[in-house]
Amino acid sequence: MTSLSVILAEDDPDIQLVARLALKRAGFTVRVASNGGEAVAMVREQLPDAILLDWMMPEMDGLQACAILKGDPATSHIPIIFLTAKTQDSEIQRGMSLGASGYVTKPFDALTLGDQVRAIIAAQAP
Amino acid sequence: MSIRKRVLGALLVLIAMAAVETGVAWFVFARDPLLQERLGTAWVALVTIPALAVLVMTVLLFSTKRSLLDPLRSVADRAELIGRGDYTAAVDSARRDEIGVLELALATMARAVQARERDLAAALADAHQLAHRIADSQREAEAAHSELLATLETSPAALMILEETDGRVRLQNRAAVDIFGIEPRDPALRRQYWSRFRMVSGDGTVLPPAQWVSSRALRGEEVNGQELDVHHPDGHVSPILASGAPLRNDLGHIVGAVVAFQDISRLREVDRLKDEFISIVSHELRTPLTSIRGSVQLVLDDPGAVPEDEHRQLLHIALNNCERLIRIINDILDVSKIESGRIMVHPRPSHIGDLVRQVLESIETTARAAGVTLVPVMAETLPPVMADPDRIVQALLNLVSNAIKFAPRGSRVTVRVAAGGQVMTVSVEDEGEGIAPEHLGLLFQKFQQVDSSASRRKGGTGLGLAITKALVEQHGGTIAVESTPGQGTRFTFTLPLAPSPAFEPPAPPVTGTARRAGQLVLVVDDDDEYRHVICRQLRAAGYDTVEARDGSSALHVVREARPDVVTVDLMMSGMDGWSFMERMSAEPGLSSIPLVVMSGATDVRTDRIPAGVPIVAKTAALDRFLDEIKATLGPRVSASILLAEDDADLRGILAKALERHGHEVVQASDGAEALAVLDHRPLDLLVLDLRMPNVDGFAVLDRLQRTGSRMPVVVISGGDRMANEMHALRLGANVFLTKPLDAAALASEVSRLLTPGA
Repeated sequence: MTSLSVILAEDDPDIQLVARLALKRAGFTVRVASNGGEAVAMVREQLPDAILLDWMMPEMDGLQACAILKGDPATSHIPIIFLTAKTQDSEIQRGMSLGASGYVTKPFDALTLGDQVRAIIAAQAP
Repeated sequence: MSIRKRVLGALLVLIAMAAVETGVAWFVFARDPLLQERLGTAWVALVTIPALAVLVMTVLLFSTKRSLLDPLRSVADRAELIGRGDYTAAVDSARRDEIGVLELALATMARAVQARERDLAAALADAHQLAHRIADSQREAEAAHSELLATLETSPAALMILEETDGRVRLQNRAAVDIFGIEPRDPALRRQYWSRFRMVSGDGTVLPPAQWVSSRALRGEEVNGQELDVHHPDGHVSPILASGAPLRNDLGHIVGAVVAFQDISRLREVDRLKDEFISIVSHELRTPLTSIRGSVQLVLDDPGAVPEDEHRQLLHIALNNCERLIRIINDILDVSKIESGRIMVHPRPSHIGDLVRQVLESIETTARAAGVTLVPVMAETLPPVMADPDRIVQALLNLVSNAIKFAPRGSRVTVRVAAGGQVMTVSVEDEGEGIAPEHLGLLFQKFQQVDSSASRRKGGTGLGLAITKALVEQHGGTIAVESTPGQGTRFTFTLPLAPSPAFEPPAPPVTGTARRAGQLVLVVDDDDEYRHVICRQLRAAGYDTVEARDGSSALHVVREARPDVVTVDLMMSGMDGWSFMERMSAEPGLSSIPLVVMSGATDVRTDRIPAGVPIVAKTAALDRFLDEIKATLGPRVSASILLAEDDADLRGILAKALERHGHEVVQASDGAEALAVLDHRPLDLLVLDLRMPNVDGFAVLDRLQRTGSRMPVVVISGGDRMANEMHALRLGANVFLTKPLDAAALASEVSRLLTPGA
């Protein structure tokens, strides 16, 4: 299994750690950011296989980061997955309509988070 | 002259005659001795007899007076007394002669008169009393009426009482005046007054006045709590809850109507705040729960990280309770969605057997721990149902875990699935204590558990069954419960069957005009099963079909095959429906192909869907979908359309799109030109830009309204929608579209307006 690289943007340090460990356990290489801006910069530095964005973050939230990344031809092909505590279908739709590939609702299952991310990336692949 | 006088007079005359005779005899005989001698003693007799007669008659006179005339007199006197009301004067007489009879009659009559007079007096007294009572009740009625008026006046609900004859407002309270003002007395002004209000129903349709609650109530309909938005002449909008009922007279004829409105803007606001609160709280709870759950999971998953069994047990307790908290939060969120009507199910053809197996597998461990055996009873092959798999799994899980909770150790929980008629019936049956009949009705209410001590023991929020019921009903199914105390409880719900080939209408003949030759429908959906169902239906209805699984392959198909209409799913992997539609409208040549959105979601965000594109819920009947396709594709009535638009480029595009739909288009570059065309020839429809040089769109509308034109008008505007829309609609425009404008949207609005009955 090739190691997939992901960038994880999450402002809550506890969740950041849990998610990072859960993804590491599933064999991902993880780089972490604590807001949307950092994540966008990290993506441009080195393109990952997927980007996990928290919905609400200070300075630049997940939606804004998603819009920037999807609007940039250099990064628009990278699957974006929202990590969200929002369960309003309309909000999820909003994320999806911005070009996200999928979403994982919080509280996520740490034991299957990696599988979920992998499944979304696989579904996105042409 | 009285009888008495006549009798006395006659007697006196007789006496006088006898006396004269006596006198004459005496004078003649006493003076003439010769005569005396001749007659002898006879002359004495001659003199004495008249004298005797005088005497007798005098005696007779007096006796007559005493025996006949006096009693008569006395009778007359008494009659007079009786006449004056002295009934003591009526006495029975002891006399047995005629006078006696007379007196008796008089007495009888007097008594009768007296009795009648007494009756009359009593009746009169009654009448007086009645009059008093009437006056009293009138006062009471007036008091009650003014109390009622005061109550009406201070009622927070707006109330109006309407007259049947002309729909005039007979009575309205202050709240009604606050909402609607006071209508003018003049009937002509009245119509104009009400035409400035617009009633918009929940789905956004502007109700024609005949569909207003007041009109419906006057026609005899009872309307109970219809939610409406009132668009006021000044532009502000207030949400109201409207009810109405006819008023009938004792013959049952409608004599008027009472209409009640309640301003629910505050309620809506409170509702919104509540939802927002729940949403925020749930979000705030989810964040720490994520860390706790994930941390514990990762620690427990690391072999050897927690060597002590007791410590592992403690961590499992932490994890289980974390899961429980998450379930509660999810339940509360679901309930809040149910209450605000935002719960969404996305039914699609699904295999109920798979869902049941999935549920039983996931709950197997819990059942084993409780010593309960799970028994599925279902046929090998079942027809597909229309179900949102996640939501039906949730509903089934609620029912099965409920049954396990209340099932005694060593008993069975049976899940039965059977198809019958147009529905699939699913039941979950336990062998527990059962539920007393009086508690059955409470089961589906929120926060209800039959025994609250049991709930503490068994855990649970008491929301599960309320959610299950709502989910089943959202699918168009029903749920019921039956229970025998001591034997067990059975929950049964139904789901509609998916349309399958067996239920398809027979295909129309492929020859002749029935076949819609050359009409090609592209179906874009990533759900293979659903796409196949739709295509089958379309082909059965005589269309040709092509399919695509996502936006980008759909774009290829569109470019190659040039379909007549495209149906688009919104949420698709890869390029989704929104992006696909954006690409379609950006590409010249594709933008005029009509689109129909097929949405799985019920509260679709419409801001990224081009104006005028019809949205059909996947949950809706397939008939509705076919109707929409039919409406989008034509009826190819070719109409003559006047297109008034100053921008030549846009005018060209719109004209081409309309011509493509088979219409004749007459172009005008400003309002003056448009009016000139209209003076020369009648046209079927007007497409009108609002802002144009010389004579603008408003002036055209105004002129049309004044001339009583009935031509449908589609207004297109680049300006502020809020400011212009009301004004334009008030001036008689039928549809308001904003720029940037999609030509296909315009074309579909035009065919909608031209379709009879639209």
